Amino acid sequence: MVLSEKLLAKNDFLRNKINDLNEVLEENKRLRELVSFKNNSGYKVIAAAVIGRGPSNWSSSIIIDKGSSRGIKKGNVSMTFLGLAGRVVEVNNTTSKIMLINDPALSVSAVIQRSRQEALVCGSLGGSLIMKYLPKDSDIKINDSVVTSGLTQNYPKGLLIGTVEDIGEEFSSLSRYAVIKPAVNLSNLEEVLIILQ
Amino acid sequence: MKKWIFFSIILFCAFLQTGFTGFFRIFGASADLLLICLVAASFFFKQKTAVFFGFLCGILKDLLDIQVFGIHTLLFTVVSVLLTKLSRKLSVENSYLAAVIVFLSSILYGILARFVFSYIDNIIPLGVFWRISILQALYTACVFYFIFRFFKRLIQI
Repeated sequence: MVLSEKLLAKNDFLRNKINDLNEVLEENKRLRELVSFKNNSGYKVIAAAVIGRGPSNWSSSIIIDKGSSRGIKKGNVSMTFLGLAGRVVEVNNTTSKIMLINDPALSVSAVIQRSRQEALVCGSLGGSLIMKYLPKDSDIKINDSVVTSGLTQNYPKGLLIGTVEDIGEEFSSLSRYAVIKPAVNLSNLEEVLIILQ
Repeated sequence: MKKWIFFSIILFCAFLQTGFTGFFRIFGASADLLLICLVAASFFFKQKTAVFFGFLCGILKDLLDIQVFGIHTLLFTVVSVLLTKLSRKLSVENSYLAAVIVFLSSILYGILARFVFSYIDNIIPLGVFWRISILQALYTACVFYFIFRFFKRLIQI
C-alpha cells in the first residue's frame, strides 16, 4: 500500500518533469529559429519576450520585456522569423508596447510578391488583415504572398505579411480588396524580434 | 475591508486582462473584466466610492493600453457616473438584470470609445466596430452573469 502510494507520487513528479521538459524543448525550438533568423538576416535585431497583452478590445497590442535601455525606439518594426508582427508605439526603460498589424490604426504599404501589385494592408482587430485599394484589374490570386513594399517609413522591403485568403469587390465597385491571413499567429506570440537598423 | 477586497479584485482583473483574456478571444473580442468591476462597484458601493473605482479601472486600462493616455479613464468615469445613478433604482438580487446592465454599459462604452477614437484620428471601420461592440458586450455580460454571485459573496464578507 505504502509502495503503491510512493510510486503514484513518483509518477506525478515524473509527469510534471516531462511537462516542464516539453515546455523547455518548445521554447528551445522557437529560440533556435529566432537565432537562426537573426544570424542570417541583414538587419540588426534584438529578441524580446512577450510579457503582456493590451487589455482593450479596440486595439491590438503586446507588451515586451525590452525597452530603451536595449536600444529600442518608437517606430521600430517588430517581427518573428515567420514575418511582420507590428510596430513599437511606446518605449519605457525596460518595457515597450507594440501595436500589432491587426490593429486598424496600423497601415502598411504592401505588394503582391508575384505580380508586384501595390496596395495598403490594414488591420481588422480579428484574425485577418484587409488589403485595400486594389485596382479592379489587379493581378491577384488566392494564396499569393504579400510582402512589405518598403514605402512605409521604417518597414524594410520584402518582409512577409501573409497570404491572400479571399478576394472581394468594394461596395463602391471602384476597387477590390483582399483578405490576408497573417504569416505570424498574432494571438499566441511569445517571442518577437525588434529591428533596430 | 470591503473596499480593500474590491481593490484587490480590480488589480487581479487587470492582471488577468493583460495576461489571459487574449487567449480566449472570439472573433477578436474578449470579456472586459475591468468593465465588470466598474458595474459591480456601482451595485455594491455608494456613488463616490463607485465612481472612484471606475476611475481606477480606467487608469489601469490606460496604463496597459496603447491608446492616448486618459481615454479609458474618461470613458470609465462617465459610464460609472451614469451607472451609479441608474443602479440606485435597481435591485442587485436579480443577476439577469445585472447582466443586461453590463451588456448595455458595454455597448455604451463602445459607442463613446468610437466617438473619442475618431476625434484622435483612429477611425475604426463601422463593420469592425459593430462586430467587436456586440461580441464584447455579449461575452462580458455572460462572464458577469456567472461571476456575479461570487462577487456578491466576496463583497458581503
